[in-house]
Amino acid sequence: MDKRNSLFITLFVAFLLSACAPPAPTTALRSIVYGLTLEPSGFDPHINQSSELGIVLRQVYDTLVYRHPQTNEIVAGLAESWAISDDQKTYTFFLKQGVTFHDGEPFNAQAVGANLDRITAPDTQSQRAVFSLGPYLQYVIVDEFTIQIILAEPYAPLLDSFAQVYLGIASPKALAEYSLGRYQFHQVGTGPFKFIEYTTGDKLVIRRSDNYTWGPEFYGALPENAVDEVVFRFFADPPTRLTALESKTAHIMGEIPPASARAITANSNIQLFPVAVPGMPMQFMFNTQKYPTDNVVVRRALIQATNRSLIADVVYQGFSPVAWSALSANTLYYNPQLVGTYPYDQDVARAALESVGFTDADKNGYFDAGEGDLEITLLFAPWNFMPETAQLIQESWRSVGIKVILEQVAGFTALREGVATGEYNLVAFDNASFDPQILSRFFMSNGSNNYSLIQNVELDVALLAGTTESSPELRYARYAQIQQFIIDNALILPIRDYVNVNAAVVEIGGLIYDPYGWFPLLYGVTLN
Amino acid sequence: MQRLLFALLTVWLALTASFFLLRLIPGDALSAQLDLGGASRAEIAQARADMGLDDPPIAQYIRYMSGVVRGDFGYSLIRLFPVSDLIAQRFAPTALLALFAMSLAVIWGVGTGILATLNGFWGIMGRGMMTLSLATPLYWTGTLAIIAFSAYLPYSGVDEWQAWILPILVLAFHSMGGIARVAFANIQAVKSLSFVIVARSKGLHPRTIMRRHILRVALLPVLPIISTQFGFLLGGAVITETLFVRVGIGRLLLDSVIAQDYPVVQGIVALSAMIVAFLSLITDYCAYLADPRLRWMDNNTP
Repeated sequence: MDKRNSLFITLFVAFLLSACAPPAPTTALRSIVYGLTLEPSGFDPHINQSSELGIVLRQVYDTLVYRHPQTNEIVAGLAESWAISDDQKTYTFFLKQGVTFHDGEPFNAQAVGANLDRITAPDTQSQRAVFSLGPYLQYVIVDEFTIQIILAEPYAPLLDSFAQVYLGIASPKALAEYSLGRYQFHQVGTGPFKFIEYTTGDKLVIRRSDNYTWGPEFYGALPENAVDEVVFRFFADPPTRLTALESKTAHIMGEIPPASARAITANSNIQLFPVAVPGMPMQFMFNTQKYPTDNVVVRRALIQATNRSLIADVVYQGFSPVAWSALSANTLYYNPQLVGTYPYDQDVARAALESVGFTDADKNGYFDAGEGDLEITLLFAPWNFMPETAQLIQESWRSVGIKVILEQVAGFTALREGVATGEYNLVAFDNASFDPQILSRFFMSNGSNNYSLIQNVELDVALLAGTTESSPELRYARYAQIQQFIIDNALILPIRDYVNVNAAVVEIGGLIYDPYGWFPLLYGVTLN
Repeated sequence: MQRLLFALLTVWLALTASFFLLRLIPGDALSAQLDLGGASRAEIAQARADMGLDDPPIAQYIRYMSGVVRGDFGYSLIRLFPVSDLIAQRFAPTALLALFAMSLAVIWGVGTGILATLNGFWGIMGRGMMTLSLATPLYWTGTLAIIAFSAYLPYSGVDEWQAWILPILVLAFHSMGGIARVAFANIQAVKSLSFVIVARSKGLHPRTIMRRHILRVALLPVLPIISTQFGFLLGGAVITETLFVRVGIGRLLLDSVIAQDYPVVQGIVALSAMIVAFLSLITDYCAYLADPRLRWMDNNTP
């Protein structure tokens, strides 16, 4: 064999070896699965209203302002700073410069304007974003990085609305390119993660955006091992959520049922993240127009007849505290003086019912009402472990001498119809919100969720003032007084503050939630 | 031809019934979403009127049916999407799941049915499995399967082929009992017929008798069962898809029923009715091909 030949053979073998060698190691994508619950009917933040959509899109969009996850204060987001006019009707936002959308489009005042145009257009059929703007009139573009929002009347919760993902700022180019229904599959924001794909019913994928440098200050530097990709899937059946974590089918999961959460406390491979959701506690609203709950003495007696700490322990396994007010403890302007009102005492409850003339003449263990027994109808849907809660209430009240009729309906649609008939004494309904203005919907005479059917001018005036007054001290005084009124008149039976029990496998680090309770901030989440 | 008309009638009846039954339940998806989002009463009423939900039901029905005839199943009340798109996006995973599960269920069911006719240990096993399949609800076997196997097999989503194993097994197990029962009962009945006794007295091997004489006759009634079982399978998809976190028509149906998104529910009802009607046409035709007696009757009726 001559030399030249052997050289060729050596080269050839080397070539073969190099072809067979494994490719240069590429760093594997750090991908995690985040388990959502029910799939919402849509994922467009400007159109749809669910909390689930916010869990995903909080990572895709920035908002003009943010709420600081520790201090709860409003801090700079896409707006560097802002000014509110003396008449409280003009909000001027000074926008950050050098921000680009994931599609390369520049962020500026025109982009904010295009988003507001879309949200307020009638064709958009916005289910939430448009209402969160309150008495919005129009916007004025002052210069490329300054925009004014003009209101018809003062609206104190406006900054709170601009801190929520429903007013997240989307790329005007993408908004123009896709029709209303299609945009949810091609979302483009400025946030820490890019929207990759959404397959309805199956999954939603987001991937880290490389040049994200304009995040709110509290995000800090990007940690080592930060996740690159998050796949959201829908785990609609509650009992399977724990199994999914145990088998690492999912890495993070929301709304773990309390019994599963209790089991997790003994499992060192899974960590719990209980997050209190501000707004109204889980509660029943009393129908103040229907016998016998039209009598305030009866309503107070029913609260005192309810063993709420038993419900918190048995149904919620101690993961959420007993509620005392119409706002839960971590809501803005919560009134802590109401803690302990109407403590559980069956004797006091019985005596109160006797004081307004109820007797048990036929000695069957129930108070009499007309021909039959004293009956109370509870209307509720199967969420939030209401069926279990209602059964415990039925038990407690039976021993006081009240017969409870449980009326369970399939969902919110059916609940609304049940309310419309007026044939209920108590109905279970509440809603989340950091700002206490949520109370207006529930207790204004014309409020859309005024299920206690309260008509009180004094309360209407106070609720209206609460949303229009500017000074925090005045607002606090208003809402403290409103909460006092609601409890004094026993308009609700508060059960427990809502706590969303999230869980994650032990390899997950840096998981935090924003003050609205539902929404994780996945920017700094790590997978080790 | 007559059968085709009958199938069309079935679909029309299913559509009409679902249209009016859904409207007997008060409430709609649109109002609920707006209410949760913070709309005022006036705004909700306006939105309802804009969507034509306040028109008399009969007017809505005529509008809907005239659309259906043109192949337009309307829009979802809350998803801003044509119903046909919503269904099309989710059809393939459900159809494939049902197809695989059905094929497995037929083999499994017939096998179990034959096994159940035996004496001794295997007979007991066969009858036990058949009873278990008939007696256990789908959500129970499904949950059990997830608890038992989730550590070894992925079970959620439709991307990995391994994730299909558990749902197919669970759904097939659920459907096989009905098929096994029909096969079992028919084999038992045919076994005592005179031609089997003749075959046996001629000294044929029992396995040959089973294969060549009994099964051919006894398995014919299984064919029509397949189309009805397929209907149950679509119902089972609601539970399977929820349990196994899968995309599909079943999940869409469940969500839409709870939300009272009428047009979507109607669209799925129409589709299911069409599938079942179509399948019963096919299986009837297969039975006709497979059974010489049916053909003979057809050719010799006056």
